[in-house]
Amino acid sequence: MDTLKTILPNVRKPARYSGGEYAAVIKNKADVLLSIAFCFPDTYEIGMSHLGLKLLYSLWNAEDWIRCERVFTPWPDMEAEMRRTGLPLYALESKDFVRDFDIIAFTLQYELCYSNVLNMLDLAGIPLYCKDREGLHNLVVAGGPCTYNPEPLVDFIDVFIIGEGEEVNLELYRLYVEARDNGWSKHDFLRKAADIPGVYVPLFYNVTYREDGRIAAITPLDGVTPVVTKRIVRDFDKSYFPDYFVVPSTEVVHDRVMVEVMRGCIRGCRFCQAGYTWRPVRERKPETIIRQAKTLAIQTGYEEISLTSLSTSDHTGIREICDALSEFCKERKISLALPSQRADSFTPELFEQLRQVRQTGLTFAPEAGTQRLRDVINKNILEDDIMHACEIAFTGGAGSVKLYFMAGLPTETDDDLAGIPDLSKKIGWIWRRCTPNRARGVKISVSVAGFVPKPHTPFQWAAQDTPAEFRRKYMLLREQMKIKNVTYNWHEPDVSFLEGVFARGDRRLGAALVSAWRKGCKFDAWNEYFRIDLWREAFAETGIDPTWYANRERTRDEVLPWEHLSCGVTKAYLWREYEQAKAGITTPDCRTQCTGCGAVSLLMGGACHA
Amino acid sequence: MLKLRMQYRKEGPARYISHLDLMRVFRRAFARAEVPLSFSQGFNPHPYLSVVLPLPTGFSSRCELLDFNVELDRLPDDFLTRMTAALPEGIVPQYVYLRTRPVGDIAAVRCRIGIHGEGFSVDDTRALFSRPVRMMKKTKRGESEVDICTFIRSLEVSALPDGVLIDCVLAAGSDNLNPEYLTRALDEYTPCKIAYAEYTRVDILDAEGESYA
Repeated sequence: MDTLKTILPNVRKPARYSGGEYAAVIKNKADVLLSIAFCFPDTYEIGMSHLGLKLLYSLWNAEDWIRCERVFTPWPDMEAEMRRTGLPLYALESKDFVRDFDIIAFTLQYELCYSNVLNMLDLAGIPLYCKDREGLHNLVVAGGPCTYNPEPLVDFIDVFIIGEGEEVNLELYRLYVEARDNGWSKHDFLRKAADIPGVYVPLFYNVTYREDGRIAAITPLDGVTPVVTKRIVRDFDKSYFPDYFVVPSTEVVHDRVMVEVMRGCIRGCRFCQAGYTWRPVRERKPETIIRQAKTLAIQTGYEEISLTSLSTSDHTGIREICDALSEFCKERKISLALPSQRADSFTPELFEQLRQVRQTGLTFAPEAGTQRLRDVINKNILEDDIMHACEIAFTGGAGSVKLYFMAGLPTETDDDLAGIPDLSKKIGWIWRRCTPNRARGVKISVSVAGFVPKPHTPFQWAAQDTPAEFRRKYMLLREQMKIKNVTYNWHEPDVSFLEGVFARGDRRLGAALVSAWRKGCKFDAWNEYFRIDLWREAFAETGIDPTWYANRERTRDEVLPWEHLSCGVTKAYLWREYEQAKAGITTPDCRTQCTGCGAVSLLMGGACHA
Repeated sequence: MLKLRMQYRKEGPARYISHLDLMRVFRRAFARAEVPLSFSQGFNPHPYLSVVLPLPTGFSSRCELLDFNVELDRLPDDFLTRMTAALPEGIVPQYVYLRTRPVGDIAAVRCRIGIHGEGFSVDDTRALFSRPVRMMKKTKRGESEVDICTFIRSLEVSALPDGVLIDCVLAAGSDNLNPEYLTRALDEYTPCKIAYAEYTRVDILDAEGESYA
């Protein structure tokens, strides 16, 4: 493409826009029935770090009738060049324009990417609104965690995929090819698509409101299912996993082999959306994991293997997996990483195995400063566990530890916050007592993020702290966190607020989103582009009170905007958990005792692996 | 251990891979090709990999050189085939041989600059570089004004449909000139309007003007 070579010299990190990476899939257009532009509404560096994108890209391209290509959001310098030269958004593999693809598939990983979704459609020259896209060409589909409440986007996205995408996407695309080849109308196609389990077509759900602004009812139309239940892969051990990754030629955030060891989590932390929406727990067999890790390490040439899941150390075969991979990694100078490390399952043997090749940092997430508050959020981890884990790590020579906390959790008091500096101080003492080398020093970094209540969690009814309250708490902490060897940073309160608005937003937010995007909002997750002033203008102009969405506690009987979408966990279970939380009563993890969340029914008689 | 040098082309999408990123690309390509690089000893072992004359991001090249050491007594016969298959599109290995010549023998590079836009003249371009051209140049000690023509060993200009093509030999090594200065000189001292420029490194030369490789 000629325009590209004239503008790439003018932009930063041009390798993000040139394609041609190792193992990128180039297909002949004439050989396929369907083209999919897989759009990740954030930068190349973020998107190429995402396992879900790699998985679906390979899965779709493994079908001989599908051509799937990648599209990322151009950074604003590239966007300016594209707009200046009239170059529309294109896909990396063929450089074909996105508007020439049959399917425009977005993955929605976080609410703050919504303005980028609109910006990408606009850059592609595709009408923003579903109603302005006639016919089947450029069908806009979206999946990912945000689809558990996609209501703010229903004006722009034709079809949402709820749950795990491996099987349901292919069912949808087969139907699409049939519809196109037989000349169906878009409406007829969408109506048929709505019958596929896990497919949500918002067009067929009518939402009415009460005078106080709350939802009166969500009514299914034309005989569609009243509740769309998420799809899962029932046999996770046998489910598709790629035997190759596209290897970026430029540095990305997570540039390593990732092997998914399990879906779901036994822990039941009450703030964690993924902990509920990925249920039931399904493990992949150790031999499958070991084989996939080795295959990918050899194919990619990466220096690191990461065993990913929501809580990898809870995999029942983790010891066996680490033992088997440890020799393989040592020979090839590959390091092994276990993200989502739990402090209570940390042992000296595990620590030794993880640091065999390269020194790795240590990260724990106590989430709350006091045991009382950790009980409220059901983060069943004891201070002793954290201290014990730090003892092991410092004795072994670790020189840094990262701690993650949240502020604004339900029932939180200033005393709970004071637990954060207390814990940080104690960790400093432990380091002084245990380290073999005091001269080298220690770095304890503490990050505090604002709590955002999410749909399909027990806290979906809770009020979020206001930005002013977050600010007061962060400043209070700043005074208390002036501790030797401790660095403290906090998350921007207005960002948490906007995330909170959209996380539990409804269809009426679509107007504010368009307005904010027209004012220039984009890359809202990036501090350098986040403009709360423009967002506030957009809310004001569209008559929306964002605090009503973020800072209001809901009652049991309120019809929630995602009432018609189910992840398998029952509302009754979530409400019970909410009550238990307020009473400070913990719920045992799923392995100790099943507490009947309801998700096991998705296995249709199969057993939850918890 | 073998001390080796590989000549390769860097073209197409691979032009945009920066020097720093290229090191990572090669390291992984060697791993994929299952050719064992020699690693440094120590706490955080690194492979020995060095691009002889780093190429600015965006430039094409037909004559890049990579120095590396491998833990082998003999390279596999299909080394180049394996490496080609293991590298991203546009990085194409051509030769590999035992490294003997020191890097210090490099004296110049030959490159082609295609400058596109409006208002170019072959004669004006030739005339510009036949006299001293004073420009601010970045050096290790900061910026200073130099006559860039003192770095130009030879220069030929021909016409393109929408611009000019400069074929030149420029000093390289410790005291070198980035070819972008020629484009900038044209922009500063002639009435042309530059849309974009393309750079191709064609050869690396020694003091005698012979191919260094």
